[in-house]
Amino acid sequence: MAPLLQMTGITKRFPGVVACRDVSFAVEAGEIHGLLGENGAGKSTLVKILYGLVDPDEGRIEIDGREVRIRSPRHALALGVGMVHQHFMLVPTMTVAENVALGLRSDRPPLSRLRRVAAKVAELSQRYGFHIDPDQQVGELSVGLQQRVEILKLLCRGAELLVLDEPTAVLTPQEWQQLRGTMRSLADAGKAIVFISHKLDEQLSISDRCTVLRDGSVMGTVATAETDKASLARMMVGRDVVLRTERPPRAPGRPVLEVHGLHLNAAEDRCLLADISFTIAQGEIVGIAGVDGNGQRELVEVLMGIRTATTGTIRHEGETVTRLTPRRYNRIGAVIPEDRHRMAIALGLSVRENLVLKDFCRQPFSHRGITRPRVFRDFCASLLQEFDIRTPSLDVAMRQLSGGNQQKVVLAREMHRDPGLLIAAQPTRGLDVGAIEFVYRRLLEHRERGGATLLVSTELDEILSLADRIAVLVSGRFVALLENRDIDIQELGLLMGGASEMVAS
Amino acid sequence: MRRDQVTAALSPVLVNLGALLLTVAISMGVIAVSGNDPVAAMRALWDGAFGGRTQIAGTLSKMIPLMLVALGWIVAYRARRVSIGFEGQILAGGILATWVGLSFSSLPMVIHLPLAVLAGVVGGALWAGIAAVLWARRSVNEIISTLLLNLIAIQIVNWLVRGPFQESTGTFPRSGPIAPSARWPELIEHTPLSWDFPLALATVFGIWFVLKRTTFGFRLQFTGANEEAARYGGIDTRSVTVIALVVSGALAGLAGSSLLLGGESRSMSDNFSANYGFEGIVVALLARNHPIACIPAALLFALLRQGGGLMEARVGVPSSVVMITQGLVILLVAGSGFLLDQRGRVRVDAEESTPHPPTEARRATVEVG
Amino acid sequence: MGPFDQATFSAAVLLTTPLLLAAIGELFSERAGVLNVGLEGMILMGAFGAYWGQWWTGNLWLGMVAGAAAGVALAAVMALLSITAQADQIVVGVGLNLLALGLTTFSFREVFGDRGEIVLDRMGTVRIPLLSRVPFVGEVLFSQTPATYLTWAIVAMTWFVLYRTTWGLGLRAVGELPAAADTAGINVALRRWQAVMVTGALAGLAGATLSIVRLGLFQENMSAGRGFLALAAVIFGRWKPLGIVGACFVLGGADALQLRLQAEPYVPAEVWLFIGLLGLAGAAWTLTRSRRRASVTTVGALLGLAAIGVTLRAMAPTWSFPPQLWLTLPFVVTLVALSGLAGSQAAPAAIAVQYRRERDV
Repeated sequence: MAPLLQMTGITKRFPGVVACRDVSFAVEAGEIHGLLGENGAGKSTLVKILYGLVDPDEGRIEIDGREVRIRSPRHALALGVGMVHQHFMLVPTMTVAENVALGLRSDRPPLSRLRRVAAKVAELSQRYGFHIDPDQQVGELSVGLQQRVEILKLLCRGAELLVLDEPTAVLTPQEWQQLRGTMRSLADAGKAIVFISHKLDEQLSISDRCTVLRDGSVMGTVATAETDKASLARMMVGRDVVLRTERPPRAPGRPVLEVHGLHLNAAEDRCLLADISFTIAQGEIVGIAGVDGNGQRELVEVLMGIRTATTGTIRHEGETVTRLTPRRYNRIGAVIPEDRHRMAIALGLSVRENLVLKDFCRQPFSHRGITRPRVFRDFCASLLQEFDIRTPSLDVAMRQLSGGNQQKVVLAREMHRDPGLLIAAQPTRGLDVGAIEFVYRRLLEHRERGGATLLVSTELDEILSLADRIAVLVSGRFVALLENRDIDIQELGLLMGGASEMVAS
Repeated sequence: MRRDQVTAALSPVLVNLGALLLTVAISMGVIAVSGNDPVAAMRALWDGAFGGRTQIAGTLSKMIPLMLVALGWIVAYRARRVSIGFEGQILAGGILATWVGLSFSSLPMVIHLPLAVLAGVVGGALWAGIAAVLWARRSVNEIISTLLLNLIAIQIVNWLVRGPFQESTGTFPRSGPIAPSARWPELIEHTPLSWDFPLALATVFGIWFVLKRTTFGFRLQFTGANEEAARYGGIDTRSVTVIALVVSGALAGLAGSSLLLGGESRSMSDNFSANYGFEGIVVALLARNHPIACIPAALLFALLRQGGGLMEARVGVPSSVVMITQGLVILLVAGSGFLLDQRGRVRVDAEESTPHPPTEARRATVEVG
Repeated sequence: MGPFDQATFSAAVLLTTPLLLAAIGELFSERAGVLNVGLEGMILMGAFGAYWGQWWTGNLWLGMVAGAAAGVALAAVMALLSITAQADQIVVGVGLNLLALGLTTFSFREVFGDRGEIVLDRMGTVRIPLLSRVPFVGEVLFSQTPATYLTWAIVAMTWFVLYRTTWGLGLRAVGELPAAADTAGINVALRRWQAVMVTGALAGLAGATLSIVRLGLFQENMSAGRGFLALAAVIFGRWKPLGIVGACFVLGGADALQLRLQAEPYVPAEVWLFIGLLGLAGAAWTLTRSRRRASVTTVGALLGLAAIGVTLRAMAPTWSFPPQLWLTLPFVVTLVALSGLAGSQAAPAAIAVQYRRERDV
């Protein structure tokens, strides 16, 4: 019997690069097939080809033994190929049933027959153990449940092959366990699943077979039962060991930032942050670990004065600064916000304007409210050099820079003055390896010079390799505050999932 | 590279010219439909606007409110706020200017005139301030609030010229004559062109300087480009925006005072804003939100206004054709902006088509245990 | 009863009709993510189109159809520029208003300029059997023109279409998260086009009720800001059909009241009582809705208003108020209502946001 999906000799070239080179792989019904590879290895291009968003230059796709040309996502779905995107395509203000019904052929048009859809959702939810209430608003569901709604959408459309694109990035360890259960029961019911993840553990624990991509080529397809982490890693990166950052021991100095008993309540008394206390000393990096949406953003915003804490005190070098404004914060510290495009830069403005955001109203950049473009220019030129920002000129719009160079602009702007305090939220999100190394080096240099750093990150590896002490933030509370010695990633993952264990530091 | 820059600088001009030519063509078509000779109409339009000293002076004086309102739009739009309340702000400014002009007539001109002009500026600023405060404190959409404030201001003027401000005979719906000491002296004798024209020109350059070379201009620009990033960067975006809205109202208020204290008018009548508040927006759009470019754009519309009268008198083309023309200019200029965007976008797409799309990019977590 | 009698309420229902039609029409656009500021222009086009249509064909209903068609014509320009050419929705809307004012004025003078004022047959009221005999309510609600009944039917249909059909489901998704609708196979641009067309048709009908249904006349700029009031009513009604009905009745009521009060020699005592009751009701509502967040100043101000109202009722002063200022009442009420609704979480998330399919290839 032919495999459910067979891709043969797929090649796709973009100007300057070959995204996929002669890629072949096959997925059987009832199989969970892993797709493993680093950034830019060609995973996402391959998936887009499968989903009809990109036309391959060469190669053939067969579904159930018949050759097909997939023209659009809709066509892909008609062929039984469904995809769960990393960013959910769900309307938060609508109910589960409405989201599922969206674009679904009604049995009695033009009526939407939501009751029918709801019954179908309830039935499928029952069959696969999803625990989804079809009448609940999607915006009220947890991320894990929303993911199930995405899967339900595909099942209701008769998808036989489900593509899950980095589904674990937004999940807690518990939710990941539940997703594993879900995937397994879907596979047992005869569905095929393509599971994309760059995390080796996840691939090993759920996939039946795993295809490894590197630089657009298939390195091989292996049965996960017959392989181990080390050899998978070798296939993926093409070398044996991955460097860990060197973090020389350093005795912390005076406390720079002292936070005590911080609470933040939203409207209707919903608690966003509760009882947060910690200090950061000179030459120390304190890492805040946790899954997205557990209060990281709120914590950063309170510390830099965008929100005001309900209760609690913040002291900077001994001085109480609880009622900060962003403007005052910028005098005592720097910030790398978590969402670059939204909070850090203006894509429509030039590199120059983005570089001087923090300095334009200081001497010598301006005098009595009048700016001095010539000073700007010299200053920016020196920053380009110092921070190795690759840009055709200072006048090009920020959106024309690559993500890594955009982040370097932010880094240059925030760090050129050697701030005593740095808040770095998700500083490497969306960056490629080279840029990540650059960011790490800068953060460690800042530490060397005696700066205090608050590092907020969802990437456990990042926290483990950079932070001196680690706090785990769950639902707005610290469940642990640990010295970064002999902690392993599993333990941290467990804490992030809510296993509380308060360890004094 | 250089050729690229030249094309980039020229393409908005070319697209604008295209839109204008199309507008002229359609308008001539409309004139032809109404049974008139388009060529004769155009000649009348030209003669009416530039036919002599008086005509030229009239055209130039009509540029004043157009430029000022266009500046108001540009300042507010820098903060990405869409104020369409200039009609109301012109009226509010005019009301206060008239009030000062009618009272205190014993004052010498050096005090009375500046006082009346200032009153106009304050009036416009206050009227825009209502919308600004409602936006900042109560999140009321400024488009709706400024529009409603227009409608309210119109009725207040209607009441004033039939009530408290009405001329002494009580027959006409207009105010008594504004004291000569509060009127702009003539720039060219026996013409409507007075000394507020150089003031308006200076304001154009002043606003251009403020936007380009001051820290406030920088704050405003960043706030408009990305409000959240500006806030993270330490800019008090809310007050910057409120100031922008108030300044934009002040500019419209200045326009209102000019309409009453300069030019041909001697008193306030209802509807003295004469749609300048909307036409100024068209001028700004045609200038693609560049302050200096407002000067030629305003000249064009002043020409239409000044020459339109003769066109109606000599050829019989109704003045509503001018309004149609204005609407078309807005639509075509706005619609053709798409062509310019398109050019920019193609470049960006090419930039992003590397195999490192930011959404997918994620670090490979490799651990060898 | 004073000014709050059956005649005022009947007039309120009458005046609400065009507002409600236009606001319900705008709801389609806004739920699809298009902020259509050109509503005023569409009403005006409808008013002229209907007048011209009835004069040309001699049939009032054909006039209504012509009005709707005129609104659709202008809406097509809106859709072409703001959806297909992706121009700024608000700027295009402002341009359309100017264009409509120019076009209708021009055409009116061209066609009717030499003929003098022609008053066409207006639409008569139809009393609905039985229901119209209910005291008060019957007179107010069920002795109206067919255009009013049609409006109610349209409101009911709008609710049904938005919440019970696949088309409406897709429309709402397009306004909230166009990318989700797109991946579900809905043509975002097409759905927005359709929504704007519906808006044009309903706004055109609203114009028709102004010109031929009520007056049998066309006057230059006769929409007189109703499009902007309707825009506000959509916000005030929190983008829901029933909420919009409520908002339109408040605004229509204010309009009817001010028309009535213009005729009074001085402000009737009932008005002061009404203001007092309004203040009390406002204070009570603020307290019950969110006791914790109700600010002392807000409640204090409302109670103060109540006190002033009651005092003035007792004193019954013979103050007069100029009619021009009474005319501003609906606008002031709208402003106050909008500022009373802090925040606009109910707004469709993608409103006034262009949708471009991400070709992140």
